[in-house]
Parts: sequence; structure tokens; C-alpha cells
Amino acid sequence: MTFLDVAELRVGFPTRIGWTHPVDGVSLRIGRGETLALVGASGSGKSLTALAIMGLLPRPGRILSGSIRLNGEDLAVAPERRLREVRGRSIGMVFQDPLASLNPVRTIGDQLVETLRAHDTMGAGEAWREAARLLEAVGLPDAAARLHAWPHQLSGGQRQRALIAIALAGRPGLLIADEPTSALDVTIQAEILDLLDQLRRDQGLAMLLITHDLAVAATQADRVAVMQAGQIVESGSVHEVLRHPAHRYTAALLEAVPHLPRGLP
Amino acid sequence: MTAPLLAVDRLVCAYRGRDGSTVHAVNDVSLTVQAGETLALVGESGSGKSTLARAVVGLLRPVAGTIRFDGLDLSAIARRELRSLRRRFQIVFQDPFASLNPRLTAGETVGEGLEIHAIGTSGTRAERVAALFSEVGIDPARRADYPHTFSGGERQRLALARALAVDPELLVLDEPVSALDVMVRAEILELLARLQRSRGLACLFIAHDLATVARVAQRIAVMYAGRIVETGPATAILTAPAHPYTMALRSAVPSINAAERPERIILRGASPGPTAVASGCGFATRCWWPERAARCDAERPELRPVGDRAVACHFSRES
Repeated sequence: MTFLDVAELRVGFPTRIGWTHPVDGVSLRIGRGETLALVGASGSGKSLTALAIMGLLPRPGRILSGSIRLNGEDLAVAPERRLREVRGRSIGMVFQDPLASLNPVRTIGDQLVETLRAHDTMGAGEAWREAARLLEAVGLPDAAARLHAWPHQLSGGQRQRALIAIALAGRPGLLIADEPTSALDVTIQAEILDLLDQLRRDQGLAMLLITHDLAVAATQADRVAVMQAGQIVESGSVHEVLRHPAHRYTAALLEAVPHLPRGLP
Repeated sequence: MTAPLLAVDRLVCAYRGRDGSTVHAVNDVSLTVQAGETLALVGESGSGKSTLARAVVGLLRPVAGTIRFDGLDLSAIARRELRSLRRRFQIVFQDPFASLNPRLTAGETVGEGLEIHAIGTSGTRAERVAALFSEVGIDPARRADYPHTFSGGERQRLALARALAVDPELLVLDEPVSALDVMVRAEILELLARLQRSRGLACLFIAHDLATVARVAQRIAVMYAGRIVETGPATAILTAPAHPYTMALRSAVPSINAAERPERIILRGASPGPTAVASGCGFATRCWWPERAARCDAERPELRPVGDRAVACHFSRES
């Protein structure tokens, strides 16, 4: 069943010489329990597509046409008040830089509890218990003690786990992960990708994974959409697109992935 | 075998922590780079690899050990001599947005080294700068442009041209492509491989993953918590890593082809970082090998030859 259905989305920014369209007629669909990887170079419009879905386009950009149906509701025409409800409640987000996304002067627990209580009529005690449970669910060691930790006391991988916990606090149906591992060490990257995959399976999340790395897409996604200059130039099952890239740009992206000599079993 | 161009011997680098404690970022590290060869130094953040790079180019004074360039001990020679020696090794940093002076034009940036080392006349310098632009694939017509008008990949090309201006024999590359997109990354690696061939350059290439260095390195040294845990020929390390940490690094490389994808090894816990353990193996806290034993906590494994490489693990054996 389609959970997110974006059709012919067009985002415009006014310039001195008229409108530019960094997102230009993008269509994509994600079902529950499915991961779609949106792949492209920096500047291709993949992050702006995500921001448009969440209603967080930077000014003076705006949606010019198209629809963003989330569970049937068109977010492209929804008022800001409704979008605020949707963010966190129906859509969770994880960004690239976990240090920049956390408030440095509030503990991890404070930030989790704030998010939990923003979306639910939940007592403080219950919220703190739920916060501890969430941190445990994202695999933070010694979760209960971590509630009182400050962001700077956590490693990069732990911060990303904490952010994922915050993203999941409102029990969203769609998780948007924008380059969630690009700022992390490779071994930590593998851990976080594994965690995201496990959460998708366990909670039946629809996942939009944004990455510039086709190899990451290959290991994580069911389907892939390749974006270039604001448009999706190719999409399909990971298997199909990577095996037989139909578009020149996809082939070039594939070419850029380093091939390592094969390892021993 | 000829004498190495760069020989680092039992190097120790330390920082004073805020609480007065001493943090050993690089601990007893030895390595060599032959003329014309690329050695990749791979490790996660906090493993000490950038500290080592800074020590090698003289930006940081080591606590113990020696760094020899072409047989000359960098800590023992006079300041003036060091200055002329510096022309022979250059460094390129990770962030091309931070490493270029925003108030110098691209041409001034690339030509600065020529002036500092008084190479050529102003006329021949201009020619030389233009040639360097072409060599790294940037239109010499853009000499008068400022860094902000260049993309990340183009800036890294400028940083390379700047480093190459004084005709160095050794380039120290500190994560030169980590800040770049996959496609731009491939282009820069291609350029590096080409320059290495055409100029016979030796490189110390620092990276945090094995995928990046596969195209450029002849040898690989893997660093963990301030020490080298495995070193040997690149192909051997990429195809059959022998240290449990190298195996985890290798398994973390995402691959397009499912058949090429080894089982992902997930390391538990966090890196001890530079606050290295006093005794025992630095990797013991995250080691996933069934062989792991009490000995690993008590006795530090020395780097010892295992087949075609050296490994610092009590339990590594020839495969």
C-alpha cells in the first residue's frame, strides 16, 4: 500500500530573472515497510524534495504545483498548523550532522521528553519512561543513564542514535533520512544503516533514504530513484537499476563507486 | 632496497588534555614511504592519523621518535635547512572550503609557494601557474577568480595545484576527498593517480575508509587508537584482511554487487580514541573474535610479520 505518494512536485525559487525550479516535476511513491533511496549529486534537488515533503522549504522557495499525499492527505496544500502536527507525528526526520541537529544546552532526555509531550498528552513520569525505552530501542548502551547526558558527551554514532530516537518519538509512519551516515566513520555507518533497516522492518516504516552514494542505496533500499538537476532521470527496483542502468547519469554514478577486490569468505 | 624517501620511526605525539592529563594521539608508530610510492594510512576519527600527518610536515612537534626525509632528521636540522627541505614535501587538507584563503585569487593561491621559495621570475611564474591550472584540469582563464566561485571539487584541484607548484617529491594528503560527492571523489582520485604516475610522486594518503584508497595505494597501514594494527600490500589487505579491526573496516564498505558484499561485522562499543589503554590491546574492548582472551587485556600485541604483512594481534596467523 502506498503511504507516501508525491506526484509532479515542482518547487520554485524567485530570482532576478524569473523562477528557477530546483525540484522540477518529481514523482515518487513509498509503501509501508519499504525503503526508497533518492540518489544524486549535491545540488541535484534531493534534499529540497525532502524539505518540501516536510513543509520546511527555506524562504522564499515554495511549492508551485504537484501533490504530496501522505496516507491520502495532500500536504502540498495543507496549512502550516497542520504541517506542524504532521512533522514528528507522521514524518520523522534524521539529518546528516547529528551535532548540529541536537540542542547543545539541553540533555538528551529533555529533548526526547519535549518531543514526546508535544505530540501526546503524556504525563512527565510516563514520558521519561518512554524516553528510556526509545533510547534502548535504538541501541544506546546504558540507555537510562544516557537520558541525563549532554549531546557533547556522546560520540557521533551515539548522537545519531539519539536523533533517531527523537525522530521516532511521535511514532511516525514515514522516516526521512537525509545522508544519515555521511558524517560518520565507516564502521559506525554500518551500525546506523543496520539500525535503520531493523526499525523499518519492526515498525513497518516507510523510509526515504537520501544519499549521494549508490553503494549505500544498494545495501539499504528496495527501490531507487536517481535525481539530476531537479528531475528523476531513472527509477525502479535496486536490482534492476543497478544491473541495467538505462540512463547515462546512473551509469556514471555507478562508475564512481569504488570496486574493491573481492574478500575471502 | 633503496633508502626510503620518508622514514617515520617510533613516533610518539601527545596533547595536553584540559585536566592536565597527557593524551597520546600517536603511539610508537613506524612507517616508510619509498620514492614514487603511495602509502595509505587508514583509521577512524580519533585514531591519530591526522596528528601523524601534521607531525610529518612539521606542523606539530613529536614527543619522541624521529621523522627522516631523504635521510635527514627533521628535528635535528637547522631552521634554514628545514625551510628549503619543506619545498620537497607538501600537504593537502580535507576541507577545500577552509584551506584556501578567500582573499587571494586562484592564481595567487597557486603561485604563493613559488614566491615564498623564490622560484623563477614574475614572468615565468605566471606561465608556471597557468601550466599548473591545466595540469589539474582547471581553465587557466579562471586565474583571477576568487575561491568562492569554485565548486568543492575545483577547490580541491586548486589545493593540489598549490601543493604541486614547488615540485614536491612527497605529498601528504589528509582526507583529500572525504568532503566531496561520490562522483567528484572519483574524479579527484583519478587525477591523483595520474599525477602520481606523470610526476613520480610519493604520497602519504590519509583516509577513514578502505574504499577510497583502493584506487591509489600500493601499500596500506591501518591505524587504531594511535597505533598501527596492520600493514602490508594494498591488494593483500583489501582481499584478505588479517586483523579483526581491518576485517570490520573491510566489511563496512558498501558494495553495489550483493555477491561482492561480505557479511557486515558490527563492532560493539565505541573507540577508546586517543586515551589509549595503558596495557593490553587497544582494540580489545571492541574485538569480536572468538579467540579473544585474557591475554588481550594484559599484554599489548606487537606488530609482527604474518605472511606478506605485519599484524598487531596475538591471534593472527597466515591465511
